[in-house]
Amino acid sequence: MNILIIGGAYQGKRAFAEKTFHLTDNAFADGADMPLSGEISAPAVDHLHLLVKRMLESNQPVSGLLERLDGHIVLCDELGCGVVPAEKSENDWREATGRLCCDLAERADAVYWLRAGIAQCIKEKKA
Amino acid sequence: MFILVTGGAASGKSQHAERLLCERAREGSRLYLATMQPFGAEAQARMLRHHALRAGKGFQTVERYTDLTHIELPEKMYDGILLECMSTLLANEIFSPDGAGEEAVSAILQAVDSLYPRCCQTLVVVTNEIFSDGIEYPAQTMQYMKQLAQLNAVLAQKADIVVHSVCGILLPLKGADLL
Repeated sequence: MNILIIGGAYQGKRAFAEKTFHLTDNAFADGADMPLSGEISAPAVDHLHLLVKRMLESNQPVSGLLERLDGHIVLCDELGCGVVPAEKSENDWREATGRLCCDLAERADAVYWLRAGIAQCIKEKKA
Repeated sequence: MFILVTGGAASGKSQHAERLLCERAREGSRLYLATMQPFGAEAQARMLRHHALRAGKGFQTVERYTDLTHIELPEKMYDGILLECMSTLLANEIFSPDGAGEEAVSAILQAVDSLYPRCCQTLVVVTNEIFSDGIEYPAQTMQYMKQLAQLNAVLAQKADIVVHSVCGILLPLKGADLL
């Protein structure tokens, strides 16, 4: 199963994921501190945007992430709805995260968009 | 048919806009009206990406950065025109020496009125969602944001269909039955 959960910061993505997919804290790898490569044993990945940022900072291509995240429940902040950042690295991060989310959404079995704690299912593959 | 496509950065807007146009306009009667000025590596990379998306689909391309009202198009009438995008066009009109300056919003609205329905049966306009990062920018930037928001609201009012792309998924805001 590939699940993508997106939305702005603090919109309730984590709580929704825990409740909907019966996950506890240790079911989540965290993009803020997880390894930049290798198999991901946790079923869910939180803060994908931070993993993308760390990979760009260490000059690692994010293209491999699509395969690495296959079969996971992925949570990612939506970054694209602000003014174009003046700093190139910030703009590259925003672009890379957005494109990756488009790819993740395309192959996902379900995509949920969280706003104000309310999840809207914006894609669901018919069984 | 007037279609407005909005969404954040890297959200799949261009691809949807092009598909929506191609579904309604015959190959050979499609015009891509590009407003981005090729300044800097980033703009060039974006333009190359958009160009690759359109390749082989029978688009004519015209680049124009300001004053679209007085543009001379290769043909009198097109099945479809894809205008991309409002955020660059507005920046051009405000900040370019030959732009409309303080009259930017009205100049752009006049241009849209002159393109549709006079020059095409279907007009697809791409715009951007730039309003949700909560940052207080310098006054000039805030004014730009306000003007883009005004443009979006007026265009959405005129449009038959308004759609918002989220991670490449198209969410209708208006005219879902016409999609």
